[in-house]
Amino acid sequence: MRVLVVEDQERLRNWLQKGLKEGGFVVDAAADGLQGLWYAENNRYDAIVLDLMLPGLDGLSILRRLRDAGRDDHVLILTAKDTVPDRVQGLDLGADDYLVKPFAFEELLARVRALVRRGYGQHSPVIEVGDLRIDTAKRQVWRGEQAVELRAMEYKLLEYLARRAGQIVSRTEIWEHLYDFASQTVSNVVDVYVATLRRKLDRPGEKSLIQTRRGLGYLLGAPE
Amino acid sequence: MIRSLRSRLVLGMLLGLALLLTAAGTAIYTVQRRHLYDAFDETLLESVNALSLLLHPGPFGRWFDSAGLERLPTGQIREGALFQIWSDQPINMPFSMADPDAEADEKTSVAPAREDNGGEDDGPAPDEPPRFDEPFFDDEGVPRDGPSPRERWSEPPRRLRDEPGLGSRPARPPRGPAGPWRWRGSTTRVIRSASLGESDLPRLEAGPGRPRFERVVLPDGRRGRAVGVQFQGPNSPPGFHRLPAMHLSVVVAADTAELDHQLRFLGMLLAATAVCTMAVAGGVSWLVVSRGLRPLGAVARAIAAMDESDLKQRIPRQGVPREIDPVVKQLNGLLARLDEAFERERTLTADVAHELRTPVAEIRTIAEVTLNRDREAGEYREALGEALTVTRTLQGLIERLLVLARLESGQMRPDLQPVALQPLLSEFGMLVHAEAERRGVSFTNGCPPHAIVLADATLLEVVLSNALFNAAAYTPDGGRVEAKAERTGPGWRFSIANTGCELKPEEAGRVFDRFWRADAARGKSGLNCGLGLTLVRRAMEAMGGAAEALVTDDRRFVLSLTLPAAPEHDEAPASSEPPDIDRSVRGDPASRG
Repeated sequence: MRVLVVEDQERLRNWLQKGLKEGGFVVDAAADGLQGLWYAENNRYDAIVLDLMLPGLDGLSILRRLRDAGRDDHVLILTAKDTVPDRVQGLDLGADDYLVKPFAFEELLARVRALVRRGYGQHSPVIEVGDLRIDTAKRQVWRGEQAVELRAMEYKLLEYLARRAGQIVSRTEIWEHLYDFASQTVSNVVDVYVATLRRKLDRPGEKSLIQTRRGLGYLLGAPE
Repeated sequence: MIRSLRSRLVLGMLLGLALLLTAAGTAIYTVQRRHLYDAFDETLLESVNALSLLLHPGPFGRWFDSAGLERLPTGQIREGALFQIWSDQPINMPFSMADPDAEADEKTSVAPAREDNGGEDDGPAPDEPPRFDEPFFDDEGVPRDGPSPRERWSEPPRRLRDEPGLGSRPARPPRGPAGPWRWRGSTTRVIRSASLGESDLPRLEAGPGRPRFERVVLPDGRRGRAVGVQFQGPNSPPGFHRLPAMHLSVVVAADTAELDHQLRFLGMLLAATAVCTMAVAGGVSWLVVSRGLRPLGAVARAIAAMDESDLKQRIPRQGVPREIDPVVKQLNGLLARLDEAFERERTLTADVAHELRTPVAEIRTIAEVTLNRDREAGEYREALGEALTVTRTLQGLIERLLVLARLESGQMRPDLQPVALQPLLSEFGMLVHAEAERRGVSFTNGCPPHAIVLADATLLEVVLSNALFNAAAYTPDGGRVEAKAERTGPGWRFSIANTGCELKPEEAGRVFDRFWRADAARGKSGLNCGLGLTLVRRAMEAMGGAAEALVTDDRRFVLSLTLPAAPEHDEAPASSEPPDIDRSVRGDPASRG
């Protein structure tokens, strides 16, 4: 799940990035408004954490431009402006959530997770595909009654595939959601992770949970 | 004091109108009165003139004869006039005007006069048949033609000493049987109207030819007006008949009842008109003023409709009359200033909150992210180090806010002592230099060593550290920071300039605003909290100095500071040892990270 952080305070930006990454997100960070707008326009994010007072272009302008361009990215405004008019203005301009600094980092993580869920039309933090169960809040995976231990990248891939269960997901989409802007990915790295997932999740003799559609991508669960 | 503007205006208007009406009414009344009196007096004078003919010598040389009566232009005599004629010579009374009963009295009363003036009497013989024996008065003195309209005036005289025909002009020469009009042959010096009875009119004399008018009270108690004319022989007054050389004094009086009535009517008419006009004018002006004051009410309602939550509202100036417009304009101006002040205050509070929240958010995020999982000791150390840096920034910010608050509330009293500028500039220059060195920023201290100012050492350090740090922070890589000082009259002007300023010249003054930064670029390097120059200005003002900012054409930002010079004889500057002031307030780069 890929998140954009637009925050001009260097230290806060770095720590947000660090915390979100550790929370299981792929994070891009922009230091000013113009950079933030460029990132948002050229990538698909599952959530955008947006400061309001930014050099170059303020947060509300970024939001307005995104909405004017028809983008429905989920935006969380993270700002020190706490007055009701500020909140109302931000939400009315199309923000999905509003969090005032200083904030509890756990809350930020939870809100970002909620935004991501909403992006896939889900309400429950637990995704179930067949007998596969993923608790996205605790980042735990079960196959039936059997807990499955996954490494970070494997979990991210599985969660993304599970969120789009029943849909064919292309490799490009997977890259876009699993790697940040700075990552240098090798073309077959996704295939490697898929193979690992299959090994950990599939039961012998049964059909593989993740199916390959040659030339198109991967599919988790029954096709819609 | 009437508090209603409407009442005041209406009253003022009515007062003016009353004055105007009074003046106009008085003028009209006076002119009319004058006119009426003139006409009245004219008739009196005409009466005098006509009566004078009574004494004109007749064909028999008599002073007073029937010819005189015939000649008498009674039409010229004022109706109802009373008269009395005094003569300096005895006048022959050729006929008796007395009734037979009164004749005896008359004779006795007149006889002495006759004896007195007998020698001068050249009248006709007493038994000479009078030519006008035929009277036109009957026994009772009533004209045979019956009571004329002038009957009242010519009431049958009880005492027929006066001229009988005045009220009823003889239509024909007197003829017929003898009556009370009989030659009496008496002489008299006074002739008077029968109506006067025994009473006299006042003898009004103003010298020959000069009529004299006076108000009199007629014998019957009525008020009247009289004129007296003196005839002196041939020197008759101009316009009067010429009389023989005898001295006469004629007085004619008439009652002024009609005149007074007319004047009274005129006065009442004028007064009534004035009252009506005032009433109508009062009503109309009340309406007009009410209408005129309506916009004031509209303005008041507009003001009442405002509430303190929204100072953006303005009183509409559309349709406001020109007289009220300045008030509305000023009120709107006041609203705008209030709005500005409130906005500033709101912004300030929001800014302070914002500036304090951001570092707190940083510290909290650092701590929470770090605690989220078990980490290596190195990671903890790094996190703590960063948290500490942010804490220092926060502390510096709080200290500055405190100093600022103390300066602005007047709690901080500067202790002014002579301080040498150069060593201080050097010290803080080095401080800045350490920060600026890695970016190739140079610092030049062009301050002369004899620049000694009168300042509070602590505050001056706050000023210099913040000014120099600000200059270094906004100087681009490879730029220059220069300090200079020059003597200006009673003080020293020292300036700190840096190159590569990106501010517009008109923005220069705003650098002293709290939390003001060009383009909200606060996070660029985390160097400036937006309070440094605000603090500089407040500190300078507290020390009796001034701070000004200037952006030159070659993009240099010049911070110009003025302080009074220390007295010349006191050459011992205060110690340049850094006093006990927190380094974070001084703009210590270490505190900003």
